[in-house]
Amino acid sequence: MSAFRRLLALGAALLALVVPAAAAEPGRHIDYLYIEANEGGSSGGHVALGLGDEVFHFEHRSPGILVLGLDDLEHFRYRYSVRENRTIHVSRIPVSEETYTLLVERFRRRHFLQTRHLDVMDGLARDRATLEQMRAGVLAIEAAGLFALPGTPDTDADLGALRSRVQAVYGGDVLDRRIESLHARLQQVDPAVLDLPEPPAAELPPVPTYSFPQRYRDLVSTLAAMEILRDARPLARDALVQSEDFTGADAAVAGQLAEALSGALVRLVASERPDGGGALLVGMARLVALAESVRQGRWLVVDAFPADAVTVGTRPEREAELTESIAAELARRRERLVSRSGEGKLQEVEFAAFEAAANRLAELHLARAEGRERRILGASLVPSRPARRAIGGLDGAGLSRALEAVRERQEAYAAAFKRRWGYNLVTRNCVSEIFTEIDAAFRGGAEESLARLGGRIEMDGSLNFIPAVSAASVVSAYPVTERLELPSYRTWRKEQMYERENPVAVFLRESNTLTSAMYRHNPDDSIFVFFTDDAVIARPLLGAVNLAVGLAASAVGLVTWPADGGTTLWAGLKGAVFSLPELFFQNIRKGSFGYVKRGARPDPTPRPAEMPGGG
Amino acid sequence: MRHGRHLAVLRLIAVLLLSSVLALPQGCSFSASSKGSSNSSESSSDSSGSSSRSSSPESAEAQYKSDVREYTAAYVKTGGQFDAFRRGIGDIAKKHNITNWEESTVTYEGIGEGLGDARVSDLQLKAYMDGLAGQDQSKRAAMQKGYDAKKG
Repeated sequence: MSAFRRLLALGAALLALVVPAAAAEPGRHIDYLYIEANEGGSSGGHVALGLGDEVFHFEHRSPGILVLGLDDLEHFRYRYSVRENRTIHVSRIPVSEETYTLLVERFRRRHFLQTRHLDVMDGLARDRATLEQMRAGVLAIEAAGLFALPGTPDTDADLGALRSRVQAVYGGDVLDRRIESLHARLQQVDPAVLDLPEPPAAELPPVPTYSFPQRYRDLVSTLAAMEILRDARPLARDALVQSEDFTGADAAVAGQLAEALSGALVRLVASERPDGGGALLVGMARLVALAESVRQGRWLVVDAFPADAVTVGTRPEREAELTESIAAELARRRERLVSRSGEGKLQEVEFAAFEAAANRLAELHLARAEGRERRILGASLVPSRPARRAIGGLDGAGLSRALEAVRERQEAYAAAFKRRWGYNLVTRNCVSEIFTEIDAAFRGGAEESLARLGGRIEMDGSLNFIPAVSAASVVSAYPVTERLELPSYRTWRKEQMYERENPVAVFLRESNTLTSAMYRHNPDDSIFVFFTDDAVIARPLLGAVNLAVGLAASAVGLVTWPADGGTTLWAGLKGAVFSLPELFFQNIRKGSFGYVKRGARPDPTPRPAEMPGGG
Repeated sequence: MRHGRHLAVLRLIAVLLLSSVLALPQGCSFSASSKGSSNSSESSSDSSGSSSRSSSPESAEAQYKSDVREYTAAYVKTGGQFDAFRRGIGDIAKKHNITNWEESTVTYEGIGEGLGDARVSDLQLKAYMDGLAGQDQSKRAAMQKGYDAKKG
């Protein structure tokens, strides 16, 4: 035992006397999760810390940074054990309530800190884009594209009614006054006063700043919204998406929501909040959609897809399943909306979720009818279709200087972030950071960590940086009371099949990608024939076949390169590379599943298990 | 000629083995996006977005409140201009698909909780109330409720 370890043990023993209650009364537990390897994202495996329903795990992200991700347990399981088809091994360690709270607080704080810094970096990127647009004399205003172009002779009756309400409350010339005031403020905004965020230096979140580009963008956005309301400008022709016919109390609900939204928009016009323009644009579009829904007797929602929405192809065999799933989601969202409509307020989170589900279902139908790939709606559900707006009267030289300053700050910020939280395969990875944060959760650092948790693993000079090794070390170093397992999706499905069908037939059919009833080639996967994660003895032989197939696919890929842009070649090469470990009894590749509907996912309860033998 | 062909084959195998060795130790989940995992496949269409958090309305509201609380508590520590703070609330709200955050009492509860977490005085709480809620009694009450819950 090294001198350091002896000192640590002595310190821990002393601390155990100081914090006896914490060490002796375990009321909670923490879970150390080891996720088996797969090709692609983490060929060496992955680890995470489960604290109640929250899972914290450090992800290696581009460009070479290590970021603490926070998932809820259900989503984490779906992502790793279902979609990525990787078995998760759980080591459960009992802890006191106090220790548990300290750990949760520490990990949440770290997550918040990094999230804030990442948000600031996103803001700097937006500022840069804004300045580039300003130099070109045209600014893209989010959500303004939902409305017809300026100069349109038509007016919208519902926005006309909203305008009348606003004028009745604040005076007939309120919109003209607001517009005049916004023009004046735009003249006063000085590009020399940039107000940019300082790069991260300490364990502190960034000081909030309100930069010149953001301020300018907000003012122009509010100006655009006020002008649209003043003109009662109608929606763009394709801004609304048709959804399902009204049933039951839907008509009354839509009417109530429109009334509640209208009242909120009247208040918003008078608000001094800096970012009110975007909210007013989206709100007005939704108001028109609700009013039109009432007139037509069916739900109409605002087109929520962003201008740069990612598109994907839908495999024909999955289409019916997908349609059913999204339709069920839409029904759930509608029911929820109806049940809360009597509260006299538009619950925006719920309305956005309903609007998004309606958009997704309509897009699925539309894409099929038009024979094109369908657009994907990501995390942001707020309608944002932009419109270009000419701007002028700006000092070109001042803008260039501002752009240069923002660019420099952007680089400095990213560099500082990377210095502070850069990824290193051995010294700072998903394993090392978990244990660093655990120690940091306690005032007494490593010694108190040992005393409170009853164990500790060393990172320096050990192989514990390898996820699988760390999982084994945790079992031997900590007082692990339970070892559980969340099987991979394929393992779970096979077990179901074994119960219902002839086991030999299932084994043979599911051993390969060609005859498997559950696996369909996922574009993210390499090209291979045999699954080898459950075939230890035959692994080298099956791996040799996989290697040959991978090489053959690569050769074909060379020929098809001009047609498929190298997709087959890349999949073939990956297939060959991930077959090589199989020749030496090691398995990495397990195949993955693009989409599994809720009802077909494994039982979420982990089951008792032995620790993994590796890979 | 034949010797050259053998060398080429050996080279190919060496490249593949090297690639394999490089691929093996790539520990930890890698996400190409700086924003973390986002679903680009069919699964996105079945969820309420690619957020890594739960999509139930209660949970979404709780997560929003929690983010506002942490942001507010941090602001009390770091300082900064008040309009920048308000603008930041707008950014957090938008990440949670809320545009009209001034109409949501959850926003004010979250701010109140953050002020409670930061242990601001009653006087400071009143100042924040005046700046954010004005004379709107329901917003002020929400801030007070959040503050009391955390300072308690």
